[in-house]
Amino acid sequence: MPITLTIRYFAALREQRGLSFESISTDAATPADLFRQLVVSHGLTLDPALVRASVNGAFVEMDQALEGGDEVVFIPPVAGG
Amino acid sequence: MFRVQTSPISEPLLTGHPASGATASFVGTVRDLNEGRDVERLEYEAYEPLASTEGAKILAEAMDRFGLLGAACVHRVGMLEIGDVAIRAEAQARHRHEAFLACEYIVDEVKRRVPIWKKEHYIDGASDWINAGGAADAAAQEHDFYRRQMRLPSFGDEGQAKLRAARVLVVGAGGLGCPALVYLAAAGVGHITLVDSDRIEASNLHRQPLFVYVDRGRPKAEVAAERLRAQNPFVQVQAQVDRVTPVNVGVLFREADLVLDCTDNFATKFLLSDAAILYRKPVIQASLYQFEGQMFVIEPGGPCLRCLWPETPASDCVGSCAEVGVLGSVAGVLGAMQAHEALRRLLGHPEALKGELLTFDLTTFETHGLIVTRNPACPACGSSASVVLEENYEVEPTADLSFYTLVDIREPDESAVQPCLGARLLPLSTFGLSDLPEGEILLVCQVGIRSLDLAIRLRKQGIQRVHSLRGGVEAL
Repeated sequence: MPITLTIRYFAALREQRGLSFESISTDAATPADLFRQLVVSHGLTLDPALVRASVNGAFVEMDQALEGGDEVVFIPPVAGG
Repeated sequence: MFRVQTSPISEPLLTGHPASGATASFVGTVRDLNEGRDVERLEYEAYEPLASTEGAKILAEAMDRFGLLGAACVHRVGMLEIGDVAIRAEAQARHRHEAFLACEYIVDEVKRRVPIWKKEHYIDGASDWINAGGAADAAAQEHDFYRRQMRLPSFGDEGQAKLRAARVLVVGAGGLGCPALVYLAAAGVGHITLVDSDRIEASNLHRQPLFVYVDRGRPKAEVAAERLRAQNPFVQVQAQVDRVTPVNVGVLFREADLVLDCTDNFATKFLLSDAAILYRKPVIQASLYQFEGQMFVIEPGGPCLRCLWPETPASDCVGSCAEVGVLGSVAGVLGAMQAHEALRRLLGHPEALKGELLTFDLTTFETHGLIVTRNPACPACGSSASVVLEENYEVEPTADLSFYTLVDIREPDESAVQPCLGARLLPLSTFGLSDLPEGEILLVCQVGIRSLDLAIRLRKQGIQRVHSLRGGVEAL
């Protein structure tokens, strides 16, 4: 059963995805699954090991279960100054 | 050279200096109008002993602050006619920018602090003594500087005193550091230490407004400190042209109440995050990516950077400002935000941002607060933390030893048998603190036990710059 999620992208991820916000229908069960799908569908090149996910405003482990309506934020480390 | 004299001032005061490229001079003359009244002539009077010492002090400050090659000022006393020279100040520097700034500084400070009064004789026969500085109370002037912020609710003298007593370390005087430093100094943070090893380049100037075009090639820390002192003479600013390393981070943190991470690389950001935990000092961190910024406060008891990223990411994993571009105003917003958070904390305002990573998208003005929870397995703040800076008494023999001054503490007969090349000999039996050389010291003995013991003892006495070579001479 696919669920509907909203996704926000930050920094290098936003640049690679070409947008900062989208709403999608997916069968991904966890942020890690979801990110793998995005890598395939959008050719993201950032090392998945560096990506952290926040769900509904709090950082979570990449294997936490996702639910319909969740807002997922993907964020890479940022160092510019 | 500062002098008060009755004879007319005419000649230039400074002679040539081979390294000088610029001499700025200011000549102040008697004008025919004071507050709408016609002036016939002026009479200056000085309290000479104090005027001379205070004047000399001002010149010494200017030499120091602006890195001058020469500075001089002469003030005339007695009766002066319209057009006569009352004061002449000169500043000699390598470049014109410092010469101009220093010249202005000297004249402003002389007018403010040196006890010289003037009596104006008006054409209508009347006369008035006018305070030409000196008598003015420095405290009143300082109060005047901060008047508008002291009017804020629950600020007042008490808030200003908190800021005056505060010691803030700012790491990085770049895109984030420039705005952060300006607002910290302007608000009256009493002691600011800034550390940056870079020199100013043309490509920095669009986002680092403390610097001007002619500053290219000069160390950022030094120039930033000069500008901040000129901006607010009531605060102390110390500059260190250096990188923050595991070796010097302890000393820097121990002397600070809080730290601003205005750096642009993962290695230093993660080092400062680790230091926040070890030395129990809050670190207000910000980072930029194109039109976005992030801010995160790391403090003891809360999550740290390694709760999110246990390993320091490689420097080339995501783009730097040089690669992906950055807009000056984005750096300005984030740097000002860091200074603001620092001031809020120093003033004791209620906690905000506890354990939250704040993101700012300055294309849409959207902000998000993402809660970071402590990771029990975090290598820096978790229950079995393995990132240890505090106990880094020992330096591995494979490390870059050229960073240290080597001191061999073995007895002369031992050193003679197996010499430690390049080391200074300070045998333990006759060891005295006054013999210690400057800089970071690496103590060396035969197998690294006596040197470790001495390093621990010296650090307990407050000398943090000593280390011990692990394994001693035998490991080399």
